[in-house]
Amino acid sequence: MLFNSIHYIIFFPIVVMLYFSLPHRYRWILLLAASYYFYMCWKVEYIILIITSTLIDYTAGLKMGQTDDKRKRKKYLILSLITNLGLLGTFKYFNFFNESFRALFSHYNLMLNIPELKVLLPVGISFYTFQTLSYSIDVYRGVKKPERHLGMFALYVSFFPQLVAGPIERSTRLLPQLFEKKKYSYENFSSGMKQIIWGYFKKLVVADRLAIIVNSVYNNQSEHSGITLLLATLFFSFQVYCDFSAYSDIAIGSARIMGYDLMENFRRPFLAKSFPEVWRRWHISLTTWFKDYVYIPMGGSRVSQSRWLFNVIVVFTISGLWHGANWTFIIWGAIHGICLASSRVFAGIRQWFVHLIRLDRFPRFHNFIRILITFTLFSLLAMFFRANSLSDAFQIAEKVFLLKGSLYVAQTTMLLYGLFGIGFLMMVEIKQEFFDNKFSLFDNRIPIIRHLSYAFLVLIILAVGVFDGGQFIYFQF
Amino acid sequence: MAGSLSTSNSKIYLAYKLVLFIVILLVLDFIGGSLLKYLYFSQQSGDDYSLNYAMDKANEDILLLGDSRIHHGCIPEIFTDILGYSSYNAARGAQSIIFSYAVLSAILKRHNPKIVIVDMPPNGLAKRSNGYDKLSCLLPYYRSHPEIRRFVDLRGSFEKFKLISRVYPFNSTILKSLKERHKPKKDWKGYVPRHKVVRPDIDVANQPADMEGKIIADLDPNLVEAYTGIITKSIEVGAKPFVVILPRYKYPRAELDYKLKSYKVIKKIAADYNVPFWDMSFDTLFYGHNEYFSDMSHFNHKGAQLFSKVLAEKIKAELGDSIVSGNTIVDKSLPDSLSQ
Repeated sequence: MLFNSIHYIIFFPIVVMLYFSLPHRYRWILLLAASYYFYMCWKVEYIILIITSTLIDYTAGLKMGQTDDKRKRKKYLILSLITNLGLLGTFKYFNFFNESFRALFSHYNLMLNIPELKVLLPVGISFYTFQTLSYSIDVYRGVKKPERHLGMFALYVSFFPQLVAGPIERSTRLLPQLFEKKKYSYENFSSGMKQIIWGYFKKLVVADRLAIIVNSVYNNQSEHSGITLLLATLFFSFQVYCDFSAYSDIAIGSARIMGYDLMENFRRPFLAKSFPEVWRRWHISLTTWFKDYVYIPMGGSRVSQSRWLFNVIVVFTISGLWHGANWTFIIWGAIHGICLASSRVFAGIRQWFVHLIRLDRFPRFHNFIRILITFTLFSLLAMFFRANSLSDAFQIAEKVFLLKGSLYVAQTTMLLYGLFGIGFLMMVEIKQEFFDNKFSLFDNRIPIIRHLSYAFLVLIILAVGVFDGGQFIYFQF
Repeated sequence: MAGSLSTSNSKIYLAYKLVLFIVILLVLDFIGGSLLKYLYFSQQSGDDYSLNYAMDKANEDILLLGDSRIHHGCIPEIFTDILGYSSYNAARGAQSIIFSYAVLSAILKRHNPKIVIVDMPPNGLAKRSNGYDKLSCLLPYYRSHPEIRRFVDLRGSFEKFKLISRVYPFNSTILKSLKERHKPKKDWKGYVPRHKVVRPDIDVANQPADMEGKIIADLDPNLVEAYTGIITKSIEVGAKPFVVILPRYKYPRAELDYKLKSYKVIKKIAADYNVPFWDMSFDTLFYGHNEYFSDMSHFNHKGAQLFSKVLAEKIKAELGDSIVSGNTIVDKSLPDSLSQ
């Protein structure tokens, strides 16, 4: 079930009404049933994977809680890791590694004949496996007590608003909330609805519109000039941001209406002034997951500089692989790691240069330049994220950097709708970032202005949104 | 404010706020929808203008129906010159035969044409990956033309709920409406010329042609119904239908066309109703002549001029056996039940 489908628009109010009508002790049953139904709308069989993951982690958690013996606890943690990463490896990465090894072997004239696995990638598997893994690791570390209520634990793994594309919640945050008695609150309803409407705007007006332009260029990249590819690449960065953050907005808004507080996943990343800052604002739930469960166990920043560089690049490369089973994602992740590491290594030189050209005398202009450079670099790297293959990515990169040819726009109106969406989005985000208490429309103190603003937003969605039921990009991860 | 209210009061407050918001939304939707409707229907040229004309005004004797190939390939004025009947090109790019059937249904509500020419791509009855999305161009007519509702409803079971909004039917039309209103182009009675000439060295092998997949592709019963409907409805009102497959510049693996399930059904249905079926895909007058094409499958203006002449002459020759009687062409070759 897609958030941008009428199906969800009917499903969600029914769940909310039933939720607040039921006594607290039965609500988890409703939410669990709704979550499983939500998931089974894609493919009924897929639910077996979630149930398997739930049962293994629930048992592993209980067993870890029953003993203080570190070796035994580790045994159960390994069981959880093998189960979840095994599911992920089988369904998401098996064919990729099989294909890569086959290519490697054939390079040395060797044959590797492992048949391809013909299965569909279960929707959201990367999200719920990471969510349940965080529970097992937290229990192992003693940060979280094992959950005894199987139903609540199952709900934690499958809570429908964030089940298929996050935010990836932590057991320490979400599980206690599931036990709390939630009362209906007007504030929650109002702010949740506002976030949902904003999410629909991002998805239907910006992301799906830009997708039409980006797909037409990237799926036929050999025919397009460098300037056209550059424009499509910049558009893609907005597309992927709006697509994914829209999902998070709708997820967070839906959960808030029922009284649950999910973590913020995006905080205006295109207004970040440096690469490290982008990653503190982009896909926050995943970045913090990698920080807590991979980066810090590797030593984090309390190691030598060379080891730190290694840690950062490894973590980002793994993060790239998490995004997709393709070399394009791995390269994308690795380059991000290199950029992030460079940002720290060259911080001194950068400051010296800024001082030399006296840019530090104009802090606002300096910040503007920093935002522009960070955004441009981040967007250009998105070509690896979007390209259909590594060879395509390198061809695109070459064309973009040479900037040969002229701009081709198939439909000017399509471009204008796209630019309108980006312009509106950035206007709102710049206002939120720099002028929080000024020019308020969506959070104006006068109710009628607020209502008019949101009604106008809905009208924009109806007037220029794309209603072809486009999938969310991050579903494939 | 509501934070200090009890839960029941808070629910009343929510209901009040929701009602207020919905009222504001409905008012804005009505105003916005009316404005967009005005802009849409005041276009002076372009696809939407042509569609508007076809739906509400067309009273020509010859109707040309189909997708972009006939849209850019048949010049109504040439048909008028040769056949002596007024003509209109009611085709539209990227559309399936369902669109043509919907337009014809709207026209037949108020006018009976004499000749209906339908361009059918060989794979025109196979299921489409994008379903019925492209039928969105009919949304502005949903309220005013009940006869097209069943076609628009194919877009999804919730389409009628979306159409409660007055703005939604005019989704993504505003810029085009403004452009066509303020900078109208010449009206060629629905035909849109292309002036580009395809490169003679174009790499045919690079053209998309998943023919194996297409051969076994399932037929869409709605497309089959629409195609049959165009033929039967035309015959019912006394019009003479012609099914044509337009020429192409070049086509990779041309021989596979004839194996398409869709192609066989198009041909069979035409034969069942005794309707002329002319597959001109590989007509040597056009095939391989890049000077007549703007790309692999669309004529340029020069090609459209020649093709329109050739097709009109062909129809004229075909109508040699028919008697022009009053407003109706009576085809002696039709079964009695259909020729009445």
